[in-house]
Amino acid sequence: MSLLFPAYLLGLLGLSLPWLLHRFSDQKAQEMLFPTGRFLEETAPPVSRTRTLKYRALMAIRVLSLLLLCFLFAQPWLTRTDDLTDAKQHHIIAIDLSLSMRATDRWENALMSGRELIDELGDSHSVELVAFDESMNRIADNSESVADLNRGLFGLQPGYGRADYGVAMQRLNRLAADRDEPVKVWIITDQQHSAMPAQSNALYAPRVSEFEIVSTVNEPQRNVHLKASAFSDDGVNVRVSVQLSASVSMPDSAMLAGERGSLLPARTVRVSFDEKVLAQREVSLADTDVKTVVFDDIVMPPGLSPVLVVSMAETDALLADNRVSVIIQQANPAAVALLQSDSRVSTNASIFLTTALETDSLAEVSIVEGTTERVDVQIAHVVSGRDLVADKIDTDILLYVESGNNALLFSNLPSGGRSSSLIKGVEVGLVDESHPMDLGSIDWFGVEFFDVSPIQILDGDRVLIETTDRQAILVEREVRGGKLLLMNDQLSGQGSNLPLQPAFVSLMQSVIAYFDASAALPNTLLAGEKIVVSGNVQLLDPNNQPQLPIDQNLRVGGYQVNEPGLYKVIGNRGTHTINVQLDSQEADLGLADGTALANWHSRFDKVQATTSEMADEPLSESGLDETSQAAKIARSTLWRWLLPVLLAALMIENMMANRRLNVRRDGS
Amino acid sequence: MAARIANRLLKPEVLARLGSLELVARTVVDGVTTGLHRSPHFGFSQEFAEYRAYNEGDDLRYVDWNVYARTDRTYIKRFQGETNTSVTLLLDTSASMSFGDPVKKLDQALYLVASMAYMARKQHDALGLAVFDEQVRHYLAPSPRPDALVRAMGLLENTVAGEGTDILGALSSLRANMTRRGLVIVVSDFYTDADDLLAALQPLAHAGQDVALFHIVSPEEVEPSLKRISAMKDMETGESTIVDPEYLKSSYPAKFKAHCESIQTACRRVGADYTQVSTHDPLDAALHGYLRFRERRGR
Repeated sequence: MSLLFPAYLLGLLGLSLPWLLHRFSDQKAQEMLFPTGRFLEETAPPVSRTRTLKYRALMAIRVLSLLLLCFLFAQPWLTRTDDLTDAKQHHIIAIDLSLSMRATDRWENALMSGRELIDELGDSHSVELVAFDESMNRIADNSESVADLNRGLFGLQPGYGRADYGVAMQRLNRLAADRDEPVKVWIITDQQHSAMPAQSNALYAPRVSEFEIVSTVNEPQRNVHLKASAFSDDGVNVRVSVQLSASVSMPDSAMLAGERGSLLPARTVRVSFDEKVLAQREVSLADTDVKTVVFDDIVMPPGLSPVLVVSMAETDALLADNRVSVIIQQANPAAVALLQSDSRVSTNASIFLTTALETDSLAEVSIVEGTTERVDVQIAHVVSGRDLVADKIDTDILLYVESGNNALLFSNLPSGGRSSSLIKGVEVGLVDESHPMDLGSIDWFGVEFFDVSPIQILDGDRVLIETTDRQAILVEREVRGGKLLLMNDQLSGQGSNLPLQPAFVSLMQSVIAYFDASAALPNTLLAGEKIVVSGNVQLLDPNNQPQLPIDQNLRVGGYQVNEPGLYKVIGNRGTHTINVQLDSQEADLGLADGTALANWHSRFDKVQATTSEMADEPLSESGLDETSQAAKIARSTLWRWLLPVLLAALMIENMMANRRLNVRRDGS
Repeated sequence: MAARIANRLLKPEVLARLGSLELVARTVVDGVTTGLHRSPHFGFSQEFAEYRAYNEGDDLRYVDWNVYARTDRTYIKRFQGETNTSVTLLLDTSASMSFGDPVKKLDQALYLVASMAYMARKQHDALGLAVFDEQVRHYLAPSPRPDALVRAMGLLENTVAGEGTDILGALSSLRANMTRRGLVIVVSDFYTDADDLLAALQPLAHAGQDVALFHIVSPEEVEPSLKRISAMKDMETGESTIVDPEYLKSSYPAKFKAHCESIQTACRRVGADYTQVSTHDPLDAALHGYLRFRERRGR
């Protein structure tokens, strides 16, 4: 028990209050004006010796009262510190499951450290085992048996995701908040530099009473991370781009031994297809180099979607990132039909649309005369001019969309005759930035509308773009099956200057990207990220194992891809392959520098400053012997008597104060 | 009802809000005289008052013989009294007179003096006024002129409390100016020895003056309430006395009462009237005392 608690010391200062009152109390009688003193008689003052004695006793009893009050208010704190000191401690062992823990012997070291901790603490303390990377999971505890902890520990395997110490500390803080007793956290990790959060405040865990890092890195380790991509723009030649990132982890012991960074042995990068090496090259790297190697003399292998394998011949600390499968990305324009069913559609509109859609080979536009019945079944997207002012959309378009296709309709009404050269138009006002078309990223500056016809907005319509005077320009109409967009402009360059602006190309590309569901899927993801796909699809993992029951909608939450490799999304539009690669940051085995770790500890030490002062006994000695138990009982008994003693002191003070008044009243 | 309203108006705390002393005096006097006979004196006057039937014993000189000749009945003719008495008001403004809360003794004395001055002028008396503490501060010789009241009111309006009290000295210095017989009214708290007071009054009585004393007291000095031992500071001498509340409760009232009785005895010895006026009481009782005094002495 310490009496150095600031509030307690402040309370002790209050003890000087009675002394000050007695010392400087005004003994002079109150003066009153009276018409005459001729009938007044002087009162004899009380005997000073008696008064002094009684006043000292009064002062003493008042000091005692204040002292007892002080103890009474300090009681919860004092008893709490006793409890904190004497209580058993809860231990949380957090083990790092990130990719970097796969390097050389890190995982073996982690298991060994975890086992030692469990053996040391498991029998005498409550211990909880948790595992973390970017998230945290409870694995086991010893509430029933210590064996549960061991089973949980040896059932763990490091994953392919990345760790974040900030997230881990926040989760641990939350776990500690659920416990009444003090919590000590043991973090078994490789102290990776890339796992340190950008904001050091994230490491703040005030509910954790003690914290210790158990490092799994004992010796220098070097790694080269390999990242590759392949592209073919003509379907014949393939260009493979390989990025090599070297990293080294140098523990303090190795630094003291004088080891320094050096040039790694030359690495041999190979590009192979179907176990056959197509190209290879030697690359020299220093410890922290990043180099890019381009293979541009590879001929497209046979097959519909050939997959190349890029690998390194040599081994290093982290084997998982030495080999990567690469899909050859090819230009794949979307097929779009431009319906010329109405003679009122201007030639300008056709030209503007075709030009914009075919920019960057995003789409391949074919002109179709007549109705949607003449559109090739392989073409899923139609652009057509229609009367948008009418209440209803043409039936053939609706049927076409309801059958799972998509359509963009623009207005075919003739312009009112006003042109951009005569008047200033209205600009784009509100844009629905939450729509998947990502319209907010398009630069609408300079786009003006001069002649906008009123368009019928129905229930369920979603206005995506409107002018500053609240006229709808782009509307999405809710149609079961496909997507229907209504463009309230002739796109001839007369009613607006939209087709003449760069924003038009971006808008058309967004429309096609939105229409083409397969294009909405990414080509590359990092391990640990989530993929969101529409309904009626199947997802195959790198081992070609289906991951979803059919009809499961993954728009909510998404599916987390934890393993590197090629995932396939199979839907009614065909197969889309997603290449899940390892995070190059996580593959960087560089250790957090001493300053960052010191800051982490210092932040924690500030939190612990008060509690460490309170703890008189080592935490490992948790059992209370009979002497300390007896002392604790004696203390609690004392506290119980505190209030009655205080009341008695106050009563005595009251009586003495009254007697004092009597003394003064009768003048004795 | 009118009497009740007048009574309420006569309370000192109400009068304090009136502001002008003349207004106070008029309010007081009108309130007191409401419902009374017009004048206590009939006879030597030129102003006709009333007729009344002759009763046995009435002075035959007042029978209106003209009426008797016309009506064959005897009527006594009565006139408004006009005495031409000299009234000199002596006001003590010593420091002790500023005691009292919420109404100071000096305030109450000013209301009383102003009211009596107003009443005297209504009686067409010659009005004189002297203000004194240790010595005579202001003196207005008795004058029957109508502006005597205005001058007296002006003097009273500007009166503030002075220092000590010396009634003997004040009356001695004034005695030389009181050559004409009349009424001498002293308004004070009389913190003086009864023997000194007697010595001061005797020459006036011997000179044929009719003397009336109005003793202004505050309830707080009659029965002081004190909660704890305090130093009581004499307002005139400045001397402090440590006083126990018990003494003020037990012994002091008897001493004060004895002092009042000694003043009263002195008055009796010289044939002077004595009326005690509390600062908490309405002035009507005091003015009735004055009227009785006028009735007895002024006739």
